[in-house]
Amino acid sequence: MSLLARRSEFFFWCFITTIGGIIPISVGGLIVYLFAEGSSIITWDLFSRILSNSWFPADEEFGILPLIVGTITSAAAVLPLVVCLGIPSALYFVLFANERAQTIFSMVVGTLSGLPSVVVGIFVMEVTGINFTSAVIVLFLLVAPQFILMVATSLFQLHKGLLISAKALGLGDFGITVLILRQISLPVFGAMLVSLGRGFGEAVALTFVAGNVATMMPDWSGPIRTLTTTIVLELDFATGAHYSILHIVALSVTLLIAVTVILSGIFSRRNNQ
Amino acid sequence: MTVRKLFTERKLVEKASYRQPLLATFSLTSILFLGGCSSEQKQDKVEITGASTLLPILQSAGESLEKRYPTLRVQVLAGGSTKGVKDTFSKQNDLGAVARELTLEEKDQFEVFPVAYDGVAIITNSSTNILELTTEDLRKVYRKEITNWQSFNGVNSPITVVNKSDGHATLEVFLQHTQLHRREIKSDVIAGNNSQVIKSVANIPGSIGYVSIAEALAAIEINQPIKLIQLDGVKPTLSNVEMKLWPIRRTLYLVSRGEPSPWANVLLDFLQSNEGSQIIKEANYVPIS
Repeated sequence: MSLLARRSEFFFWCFITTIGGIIPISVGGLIVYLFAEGSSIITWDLFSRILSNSWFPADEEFGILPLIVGTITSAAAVLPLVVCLGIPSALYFVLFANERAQTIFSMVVGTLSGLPSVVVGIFVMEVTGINFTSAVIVLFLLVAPQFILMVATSLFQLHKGLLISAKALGLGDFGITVLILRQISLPVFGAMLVSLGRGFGEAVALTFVAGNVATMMPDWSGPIRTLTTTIVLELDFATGAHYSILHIVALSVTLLIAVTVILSGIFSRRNNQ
Repeated sequence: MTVRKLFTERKLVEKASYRQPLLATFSLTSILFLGGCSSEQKQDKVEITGASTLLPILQSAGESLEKRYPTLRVQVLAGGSTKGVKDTFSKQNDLGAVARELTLEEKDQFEVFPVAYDGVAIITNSSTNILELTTEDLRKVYRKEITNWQSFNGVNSPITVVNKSDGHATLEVFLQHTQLHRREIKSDVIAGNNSQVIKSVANIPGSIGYVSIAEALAAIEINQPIKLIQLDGVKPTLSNVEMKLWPIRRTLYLVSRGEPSPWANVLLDFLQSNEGSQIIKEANYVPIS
C-alpha cells in the first residue's frame, strides 16, 4: 500500500471514529451537564428530602419519589397490554398474513410509530379523558408499534428450517407458534425492556392525559405524575433550587432509561450466543 | 504520455480522493460560519421573553410596529414570568414580561413599566349549572371539603379541581386572593399554561379551574364548552376589572434592567398610545391609561 493510500486510510479511520464517537460523547456530556446543573442543590440532606412524598418545589420540598412511582407504574402498566396484543400481532404479520395483508399491516404500524406523540395525546384526552387509564392508553399507542416491529424482526430472523422441521414432525399452527415463542423469548424480553424505556421517556402526550398530580398510590381513574411531565410543566417557570432539582429529575429519568437499555442489550447478546 | 506524467496525474487523483471530502467539509464549515456571522450582524430588534399572558398584546403590537418600521423585528418568546425575570437579570432580552406582582428585589433591580390589567376568572365546564360562587366556596372546593356540585344546588356531578403547576403567576395570584396555601389544595388535575387549563376544564364534565379572563373569553368565542362564574356577586367582565370591582386582578408588566434600548422605548411608547390601548382592549385586557 502506497504512502498516499495509507494516509487516505488513516484520514478515513479518523473521520469514521470521530463521527462514531459523537453519540457516546454526547450521552456522557448530557449526564455530566445534568449533574452539574443540579449539583448546586446536592447536599447531605438532599437524599432524605428527595425520598419524601411531597412535591412542592416552590416551598423547596423536592420529594421525587411519587414522580418515580408514577413513571415506573405507568410504563409497567402498559407492558402486559403491549405483550398480550403485540406478540399475536407480530405472529400474524410474519407467519399467517398474506403478502397484501403484510403490506397493509406494515403501513399501519409504520404510520402509528411515526405519529407525533402530541397528536396521540390530544386524541386520547378527548376520547377517554384525563386519568391514569388514559396515560396507559397513550403509552400503549406510542410503544406498541416499536414492540411489534422488534418482535417481527426476531421472527423474520428465525431459521426457516425450524418451521419446515416442525411441520414435518406434524405440529399444527398452535404447536408451531408455541415452539417459535420459546425460540424468541429472549428477544421478546429485550423488546419489553426497550418499550419500558420508551414509556419512561414519554413526556408531552402524557401532560395532556395524566392529570399531573404527584401521588404514591395511583388508581385507574385518578391522576398520575411522571418525571418527564414534571419537567415539561415546570422547567419554563422554575428558578433557583426548583430549576436545579428539575435537572436531577432529568438525570433520574436518563439513568432509568439507560438501565433498561443496558439490560435489553445484555439479553439480546445472550440470545445471539 | 510519459511515465512521469502518468505518475503525477495518478498522484493528483490519489490526493483528490481524500482532499475532496476535506475541502467539502472545510467549505461547508466556512459557509455555516459566515452565515452565523452574518446573522450576528446588528439588527433593529426588540426581544421580549416571559409571561405567556402578555403574548397576544405583544404580538399584535409587534406586528403594527413592524409595518410602521420595516427594518424592525419584534421577537416575543413565552415561557413564564419567572423566565422573563431571569432573562432580564442576565440581560438576555430587551424586555421581560411579568404577569405577577414584582418582589422588592425585582423592583430595585428593574425599570418597571405597567402595561395592562388582567383579571383571573373562575371557569367551570359548561355542564355545571352553577352561575356564582363566593371566595369561601372556592376555598372549600379547592380543599375538597365540598366535592359535588349538588352542595351548591347544582347538578349531581363530582367536582374535578383543576390547578396550575408551581411557578405560574396565575397560581400565585389565586393563592393570594383565596388565602390558601399550595399544600391545602387537593388537585385532581394540574395543568401548565392557561390554554391547558381551558382544555382540561372543557374536556372534563364538572370541572373547575382559573385562568386569565382574556384567554377565557377568547376560548368562549371559539365555542369551547366552558363558562365564567360570578365571584362574590361580581360579574367577570373587563369593565369590572377596569373599575377594580373584580376581586382577582393583576397588573401585567414589562421590565428592563437599566434604561430600555431605543427600540424597546418605541414599543413601550406605542403600548401607551391610543393605537396601543386599542390593541390591548382587542386582546381582552384593560389598558393602564
